[in-house]
Amino acid sequence: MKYLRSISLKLWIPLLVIGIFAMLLLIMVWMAQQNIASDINQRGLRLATQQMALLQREMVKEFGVGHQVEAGQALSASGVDIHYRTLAAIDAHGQIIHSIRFAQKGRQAAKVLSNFDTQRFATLRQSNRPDVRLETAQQQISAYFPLTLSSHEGDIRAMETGALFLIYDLHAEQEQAWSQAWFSTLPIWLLLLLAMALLVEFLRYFITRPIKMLVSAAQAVAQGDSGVMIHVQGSGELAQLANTFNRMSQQLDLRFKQRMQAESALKMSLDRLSAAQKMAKFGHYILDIKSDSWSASAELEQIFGVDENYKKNIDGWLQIIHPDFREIMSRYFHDEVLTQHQCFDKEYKIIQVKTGEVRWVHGLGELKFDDDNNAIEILGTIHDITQRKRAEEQIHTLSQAVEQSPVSVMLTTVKGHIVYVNSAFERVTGYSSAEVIGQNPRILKSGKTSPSQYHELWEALSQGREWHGEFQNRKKNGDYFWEHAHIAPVLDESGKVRHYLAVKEDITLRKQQEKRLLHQAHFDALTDLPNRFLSLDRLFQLLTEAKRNGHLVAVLFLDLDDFKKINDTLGHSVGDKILIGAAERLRHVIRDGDTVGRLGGDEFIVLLGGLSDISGIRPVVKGLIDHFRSPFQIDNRELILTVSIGIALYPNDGDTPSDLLRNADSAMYHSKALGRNTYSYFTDSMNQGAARRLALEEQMHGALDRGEFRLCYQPQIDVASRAMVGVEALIRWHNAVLGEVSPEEFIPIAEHSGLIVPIGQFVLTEALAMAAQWQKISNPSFSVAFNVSPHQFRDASLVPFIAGLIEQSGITKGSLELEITEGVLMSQHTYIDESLAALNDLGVKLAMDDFGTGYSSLSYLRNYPFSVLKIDRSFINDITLDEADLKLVTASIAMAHSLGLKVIAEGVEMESQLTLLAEQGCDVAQGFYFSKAVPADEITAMLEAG
Amino acid sequence: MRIGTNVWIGYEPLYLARDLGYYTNTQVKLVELTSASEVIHALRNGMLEGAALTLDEALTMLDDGFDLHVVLVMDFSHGADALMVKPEITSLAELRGKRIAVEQSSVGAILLDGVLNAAKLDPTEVEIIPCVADEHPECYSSVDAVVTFEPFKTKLLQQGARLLFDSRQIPNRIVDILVVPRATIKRHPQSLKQLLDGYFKARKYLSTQPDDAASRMEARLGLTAVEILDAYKELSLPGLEENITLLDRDEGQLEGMAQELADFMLQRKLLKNKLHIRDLLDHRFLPKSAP
Repeated sequence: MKYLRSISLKLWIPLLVIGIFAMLLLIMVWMAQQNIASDINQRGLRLATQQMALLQREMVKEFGVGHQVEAGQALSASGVDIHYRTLAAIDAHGQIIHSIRFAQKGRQAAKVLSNFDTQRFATLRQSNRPDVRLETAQQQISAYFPLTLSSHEGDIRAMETGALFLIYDLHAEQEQAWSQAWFSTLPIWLLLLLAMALLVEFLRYFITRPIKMLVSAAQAVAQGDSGVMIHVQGSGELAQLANTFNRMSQQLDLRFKQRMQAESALKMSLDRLSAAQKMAKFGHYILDIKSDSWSASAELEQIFGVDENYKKNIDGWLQIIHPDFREIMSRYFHDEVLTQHQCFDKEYKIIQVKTGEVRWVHGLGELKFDDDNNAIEILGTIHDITQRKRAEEQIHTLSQAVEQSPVSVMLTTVKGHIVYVNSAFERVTGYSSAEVIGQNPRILKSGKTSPSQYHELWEALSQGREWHGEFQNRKKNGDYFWEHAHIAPVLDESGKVRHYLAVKEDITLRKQQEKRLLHQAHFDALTDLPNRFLSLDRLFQLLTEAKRNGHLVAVLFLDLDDFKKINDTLGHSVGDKILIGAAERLRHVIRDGDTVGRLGGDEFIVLLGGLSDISGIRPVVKGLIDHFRSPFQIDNRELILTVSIGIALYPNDGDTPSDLLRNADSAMYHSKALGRNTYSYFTDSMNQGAARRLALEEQMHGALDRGEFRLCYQPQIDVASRAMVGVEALIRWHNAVLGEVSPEEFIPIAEHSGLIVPIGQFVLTEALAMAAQWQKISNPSFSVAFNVSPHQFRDASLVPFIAGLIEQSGITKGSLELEITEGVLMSQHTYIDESLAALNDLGVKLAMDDFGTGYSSLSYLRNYPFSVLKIDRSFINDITLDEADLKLVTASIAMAHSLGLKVIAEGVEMESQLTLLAEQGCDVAQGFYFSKAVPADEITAMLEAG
Repeated sequence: MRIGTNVWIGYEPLYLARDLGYYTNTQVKLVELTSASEVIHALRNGMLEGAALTLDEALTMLDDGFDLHVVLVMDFSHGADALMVKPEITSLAELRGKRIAVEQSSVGAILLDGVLNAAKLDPTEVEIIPCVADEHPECYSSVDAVVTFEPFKTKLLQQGARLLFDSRQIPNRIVDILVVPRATIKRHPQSLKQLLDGYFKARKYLSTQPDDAASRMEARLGLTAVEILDAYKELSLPGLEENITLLDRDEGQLEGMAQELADFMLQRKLLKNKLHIRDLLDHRFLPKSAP
């Protein structure tokens, strides 16, 4: 093929033509200018010479007649000629006579005239001939004309020769000549431009346009248009070319259409392939090993997240691979595929370039070899298996979750064969997975779950429902255990039951706890007897039954007598043991079906139901009381505790559990009032007793503040001298509502409510103040005695309080007596021992009160610092009648005196009693015989009376 | 562009400009002529593209039908034009029958008219001797009085002449202006601008460096620097602002003066025709701002 250089005809042909013309024209201009310039020079020479000749003549003439000024005027007037750059008349000495520059007058020409040539001036003066020269380079004419001057007046002939010096400037004219030359050619330039425009148009129309058409048609063909036709008329070369082009285009069109069909078929199949790949997330690639480059299908680019610009070589592929896999894949590819020629088959993770998303792919590839068995190419596929992998991972995670779940999971076939159990199942049942797979869950059956439970289960499952419930099953080792099971059918895609899934929780522990809680809710922890709640519930049931069959129900309210005393004195552990023992005894006595319950503290209840008449009650009650006759063996100590019983009957005494209980309680109080260790049936009057107790409690609050308590004092008389040596302070309570209330009635209530402490303090304060007064009236040894409740000892401030009072009141040391009963000491609490010792140190005397009524343990008298022994009134009452009593009193006095104790006899009412006591050596007596307890002012009066 | 002047200190700033190189590389060519008559002659013959004239000279040319325009007011004479008399003449009245040299075609006529008017003499009562400016010192010896101007006035004073009357007595009559024919305005607008720019620059130089300026003028004027500076005191040189005021078409101060002068000259028969001064002034070539 020949290579031809092509240029734009439209541009270059006119340019070339115009260029040549312009060059010719320029040469013409130049030649014209040369002519003009030459003309200017010639004319300049001529004019300058003529004008100078005229000026020379005029000036010589003026000089000749001595008209210096006129000569100068002539020269100046010449100066208006634009060509005259310099014009001066110079004398023989070279001095300027006149100049067109006035300022130069009188100066040396050689100095001020730049072009002045002294040589030429000298020559001129010799020759006397004008010297005119054209100085082409400076574009000027220099002229020296001789000038005859008559310098000296009177000379016949002017002998001196000067000169006219002229510089005639041609510069401006020459320049003008150039511009004139250019200007004269202007029309030709315009014509030239017109010619060029015409030429351009001609070329455009007849050559460029058809060629453009051809070019655009060819471009259209080049861009893929087919069947392009050009219409050029005429028979020129371009028309022939157009015809040839048309034939070529037809041929091309024919072939193009054939190819189009083939291509569209190919494209369709490629599109289908691409669509299929997209759906399958399946792409393919071809790796050219030698050039280290691969090409990828659209779907593969999609999977890798790359575009056509991505660097598709092995390194580029490795960059896409997830860092966890990159090293492995690189080794695998190079070692196993490229080196050992194995097929590529790997699953690996990639990071999509575009999105940064992590995806799983499965790559496959087969090697192709050349004739020398070198691997040249790998053709392969990449399958996006992310979904599958995620599903697998999810299944794995779920399996792990199930396996590690703390609840048992079991999967069986529809026929009931176990196909899966998790580790929790193994742990709970003791069976290993291998042992149970294929077995029926029946192996866990304990036989303790009711058949109806199983029936219900299978009925639910067979209907496709889930079921949950509790089983008691058996472990491999035979142990029973409770399970809460949730069993559900597992359906397949068609909705058919494929498996049963059982999720089971071992609830044995929970069951046990529930049971324990239930028991705790209903049974007393100490005695394991039904508690108040359960007892009342049973009572309610009994009442319901009784209402149906018309039977009687008996409610026995039991209270252990003096239990509080035991508890206070011997401690709670002893008390608790007694309660347990008591419960045991109660349980033994009652009939089958009867209920024993503990209501709280030392209160018990016994319910007797199914009684047709009241005759069935008495044997039971008698039995109860009898059983309490024998002592309790507690910590090597024998303690006798009797019981007081109150009985209320349904329907006679109430028809609700609460009514019956309250009434039985009242009856029990009645038994207590009867002297304990007995039983009482409820009567209406008992209601009033209970009501009074409530009223007492209510009124006692605030009674101290209202000043309802006051003290009375019973004088204590020295038996020998019959003089009053002291008083026992006794408290009295007068209430506006209740009237006079005896200490026997209100003290237990005060002890129960804790009001005993402030009441005790009131008593001490009041009594000590009075004692101080009385000691002043009578004598300093006048004593005051008090009763102290064991409850008061529990108050840690008791001893400091008494110490403060003694200090304050200023009573005589040893004049204060504290009366305590054995009960206080029996508790053996250390705080009581410490309190007693401290009081003794304060000089407070201790009196053993009510001696003879209790255990009268002599060891107490020995172990504690007692000073006084008070013999109980019950002994004194009968000393005049009962020999035994007198002997006991006599012995007591003797024993007391032997221990160094003073003896006081209480309840002396008659002269005969006093006489006997005197005989026995009793020290002091008190009682109605002398005086009842009286207000303080009466004691004062007595003392003052002497 | 040729601008012709005679020798007159009022025109000297133009030559100072040339001397300071302000016209180098321009088309401005100053043509030095020996007298106002020569200047007028050259201008009439079209040998000059512009000329410095007195207002009365310009009016005379207008009277002859020349289309001239004033592009610059150069000075007002305040004593620079004068009547110099022989020492024995001491009053104007004594002028009767005396020989008075004057350059007739030029400004001299105005001053002479002023003198005669002041002396209450008829022109016929004196003998008027024509004498061009550069010949005044020569003429002085043969006449009784000379109507002249600087630098010749100073030269005559040096010769012992007495000053009897000067332009201070006829204020605003003698005004020196730069005139150009209409053709010049068309052909050489750029050069005209350069001419005036150079003029005002030279004026500034004259006022800021008067000694150097005056010494540069010495050779042309034939006076010492001190004499030159003294002579300038008898002139009032309007600045750029005044020129604008004088030449501006709307204000037209100079036009009024010209009309007044024209009427006066007609009355004195110094003009042949009644002139209607119109479109005389052209301020376009003045610099836009002072240098």
